[in-house]
Amino acid sequence: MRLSIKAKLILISALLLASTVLAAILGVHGLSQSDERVRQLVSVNVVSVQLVATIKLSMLTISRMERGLLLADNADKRAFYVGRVDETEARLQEALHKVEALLDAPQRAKLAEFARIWQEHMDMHKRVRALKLRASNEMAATISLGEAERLATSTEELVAKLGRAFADRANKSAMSQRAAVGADNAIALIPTIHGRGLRLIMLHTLDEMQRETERVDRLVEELGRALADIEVGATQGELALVSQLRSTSAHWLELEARSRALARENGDAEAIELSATKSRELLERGDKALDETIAGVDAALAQAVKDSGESYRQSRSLLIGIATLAVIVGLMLVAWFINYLVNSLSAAATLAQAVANGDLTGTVTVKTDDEMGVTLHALNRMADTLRGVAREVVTAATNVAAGSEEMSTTAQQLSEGANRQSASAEETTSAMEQMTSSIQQNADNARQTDQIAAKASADGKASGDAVNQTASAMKNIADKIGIIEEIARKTDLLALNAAVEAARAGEYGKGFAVVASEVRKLAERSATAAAEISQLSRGGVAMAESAGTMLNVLVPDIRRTAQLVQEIANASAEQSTGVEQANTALRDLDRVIQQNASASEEMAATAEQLSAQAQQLQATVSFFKLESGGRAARVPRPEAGGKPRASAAAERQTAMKRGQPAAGGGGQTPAAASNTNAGVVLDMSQNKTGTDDEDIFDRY
Amino acid sequence: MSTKAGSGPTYYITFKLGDELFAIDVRKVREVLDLTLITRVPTAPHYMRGVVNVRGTAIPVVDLRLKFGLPPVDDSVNTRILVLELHIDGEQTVVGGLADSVHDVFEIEPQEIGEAPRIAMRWRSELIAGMAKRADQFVIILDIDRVFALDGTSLAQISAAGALDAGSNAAAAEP
Repeated sequence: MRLSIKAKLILISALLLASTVLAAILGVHGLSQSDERVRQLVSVNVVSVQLVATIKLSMLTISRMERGLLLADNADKRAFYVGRVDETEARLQEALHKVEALLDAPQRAKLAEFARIWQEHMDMHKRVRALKLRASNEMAATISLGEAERLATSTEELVAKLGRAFADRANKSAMSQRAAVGADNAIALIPTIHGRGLRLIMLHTLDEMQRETERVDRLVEELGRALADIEVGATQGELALVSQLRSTSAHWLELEARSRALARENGDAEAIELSATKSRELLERGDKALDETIAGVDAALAQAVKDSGESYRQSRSLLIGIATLAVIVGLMLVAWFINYLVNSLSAAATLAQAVANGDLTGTVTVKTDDEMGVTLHALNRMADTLRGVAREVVTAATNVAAGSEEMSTTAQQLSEGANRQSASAEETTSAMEQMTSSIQQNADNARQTDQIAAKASADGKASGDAVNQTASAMKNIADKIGIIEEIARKTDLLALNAAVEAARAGEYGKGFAVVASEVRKLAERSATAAAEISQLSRGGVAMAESAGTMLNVLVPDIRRTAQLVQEIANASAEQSTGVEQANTALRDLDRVIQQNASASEEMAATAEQLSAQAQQLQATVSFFKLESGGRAARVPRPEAGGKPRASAAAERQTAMKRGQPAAGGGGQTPAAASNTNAGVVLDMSQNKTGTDDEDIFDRY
Repeated sequence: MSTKAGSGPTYYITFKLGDELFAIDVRKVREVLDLTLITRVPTAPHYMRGVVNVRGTAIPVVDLRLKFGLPPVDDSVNTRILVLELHIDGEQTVVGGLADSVHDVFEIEPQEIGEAPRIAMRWRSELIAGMAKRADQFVIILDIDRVFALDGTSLAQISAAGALDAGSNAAAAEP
C-alpha cells in the first residue's frame, strides 16, 4: 500500500484529533446534561416555587382587601377595594396557570385541588361583596337623618302648637285635658322614635336588631294613640291644623318605617360574619393545598441534584481514560515517523554529497514509495541524467573541436572568394564607365537630331503656306476664265442670232452669214480654250490642295519625331544617372566584399579560438566520474587524426588517476595532436590550450 | 414641205434635246434667247414652263423635252429659248421652245435630205420632215408646225403598232 508522508502525517493528526474530539464530545455531552438539569431546576422548580409564593401573597392581599371592603363606609373606598381584589385575583389566576404548565401530573392534581378550594373561596367573597355593596345601613341613615328628621321636627312643632292650645283649654273640659296629655306624650315620643330608628342602624347583631324593632313598634303604637287623643280634643277651628298634623305624621312614620326596614336588612353584618367564618376556613384550606404542592416540587428538585452529581462522575472517568490512551498512541506514532524521516534524509544526503564531488556512479536504494521515496528516485534519476549529459557534453565538445577546424578552412576559402569577387567588381566598374561615355554620345546625337527635326518642321510649315497661296491663285485664275467663257458664250449667241437673221434674209444675207459663221467659230474656239484653261487650273488647284494636305500631315509627323528624339535624349540622361548609381553601388559592393574578406579572416581566427575552447571544455567535463572505473574519457575524434588524440586522452587519464597536476608534456600533448590536423592556422592556439589545461588541472 | 424640198438649198438651225440633234427650218425661228426669268402660268399644261418678256411682249415658253416626252433636266448655261413663229390652224403664233442647247445655222441641199426610217424611231413619223447627215451625226429635221399642232398628245411612239400606223399614214401622205 502506498502511503505518502502527507497521508501518514494526516493519519497521525487525525488519530490524535479524533481522540480529542471524542473527549470533547463526551465532555460537552456531560455539560449539556448538567445544564439541562440546572435549567430544569431554575425554569421549573425555582419558578414554580416563586409562582406559588406569588399566589400565596395574592391570597393574603385579597383577604386583606376583603376586610378593608367590609370596613369601608363610603362608595369610593368600596370601589377602590373591589378594584384591588379583582386585580389581585387576575394576578393569582395568571400565576396559577403558569404553575400548572410547569408541574408534573401528581403535583398538578394537588394544584387542581387548591384551585377548586380557591374558586369556592372566591364565590364566598362574591357573596360577601354583594351584601356589602347593597349598603342598606347607609340608605337607612340617609332617610332617617334627612327627610324623616325634618318631618319629625315639623310634626313635633304642630303637636306643640296644638298642645299649647289644649293646655289653655284644659281646665274647661276633660276632652281638652286628655288631648293636652296626648300632645305632651306625642312630643316626648316623636324624638324617641326617631332616635331609636337611628340606633337600629348602628346595631350589628340580628338579635339586638329584633329587640330594638319591637321596642320601636310599641312606641309607634303609643304615638298613634296620642295623636288620636289630639284629634278628639281638637275644636272646629283647629281642624285644619289637625289634618295637617295627620298627613305630616303619617308621612314621617312611613319614612321611619322604611328606614327601619332597611336597617333590618343590614348586609354588613352578614357579610362580616361570612368573611370571618367560611371564607377564612376556605383560605386556610387553600393555603394548605399550596403547601403540599410546594413540598412535591421540592422533592423533585432534590432528585435532580442527586442525578446531576451521578452524571458528572461518569463523564470524568471516561474522559480521563480517553486522554491517556490518546497520549500513548500519539507518542508511539511520532517516534516511528521521526526515525523514518531521518533515515531517508541521510540516504539522500549521501547521494547528493557524491554528486557534488563529481561521482555520478552512486545510487540509493528506495524502499518506500511516498514523497521521500519519490525524492530518492528523483535523486537517482538526477545522477543518471547528469551522467548522460556529461557523456553528451564530452561528445559535443569533440565535435565542436572538429567543426571549428573545418570552419577555419571554410573561412579561408571564403576569404579567397571575396578577393576574387573584389577583382570582378573592379572590372565591372570599368565596363560601366565605358557604357557611360557611349550613353553620353547617344544623348548628344539625339539632341542634334531634335534640332534638325525642329528646322524641318518649320520648313514644312512654310512650304504648306506657299502651296496654299498657289492654290488660291489658281482659284482666282479659274474665276477669271469663267468670265472669258461667259463672253465666249454671249458672242456665240450673238453670232447665232446673226446667222438666223442672215438666213432669214435669204440671198442678201449670205455674206453676213459667212461672217456670222466665222465669228461663231471664233467664239467656239475661245470657249473651248477657256474650258481647257479652266480644267487645267482646276486640276492645279486640286494638286496644290493635296500637296498642302500632305504637308499639313508632314509637319505634325516631324514634330512627333522631334519629341521622340527629345525623349530618347531624356532617356539617355536617365540612363547616364542610372549607370552612375550602378557605379556607386559597385563601389559599395567592392567595399563590402573587402570587408567580407577581412571578416572571413577574422572568422578563421575565431574558429581557432573555438577549437581551443572546445578542448578546454573537454578537460572541464572530465571532472565527472561516469563509470565505476574512472573519470570521463575523451571521445575519439571521428576524423583521420583520431588515433593520436585517443592515445593522448588515455595518457591524460592515467595522469589524472595519479592525481598529478598535468602540467608540461602531459597537458600539451592533446593540443599538439590537434595542431597537426588543423595545420598552420591553429599554431596560435597551442600555448593557449596548454595554459587552459594547466588551469583546469590546477583546480583539481 | 415637199415644195420647199424641191426648191434650192434651205437654212436650218440645229438644237439638241438630250443626245439627239434636231433641226428646224430657220425661217420658222425669229431669234434665239439666253435663258431668262420664266414666269409660271397657273393651270397651264405640264410642258408649259410659263411666259417670258421679250421686248415688252409676253411669249409662252414650252419645254421641248417635256413636249417630246423626254425626262426633265435642270437648266444649264447652254439652255436656250428658240423664239418660233408657227402657223397653227392658219394663225401666226409666236411660241418659245426650251432647248438643251442651240448649235448653228447651216445649209442643207434638198437632195441631202433622206426619208426617215419607219421602224425603230422614237418619234411619230408625221412630225419628221426628214433625216440629214451633218458631219458624222444624223440630224432629225422636224416639221415644227405639226409638232405644236398635235397639242396634248405624246409625240413619242407608244407601241410598235402605233408606229406602223403612223408610218403607213406618212407614207400615204407622201406622194
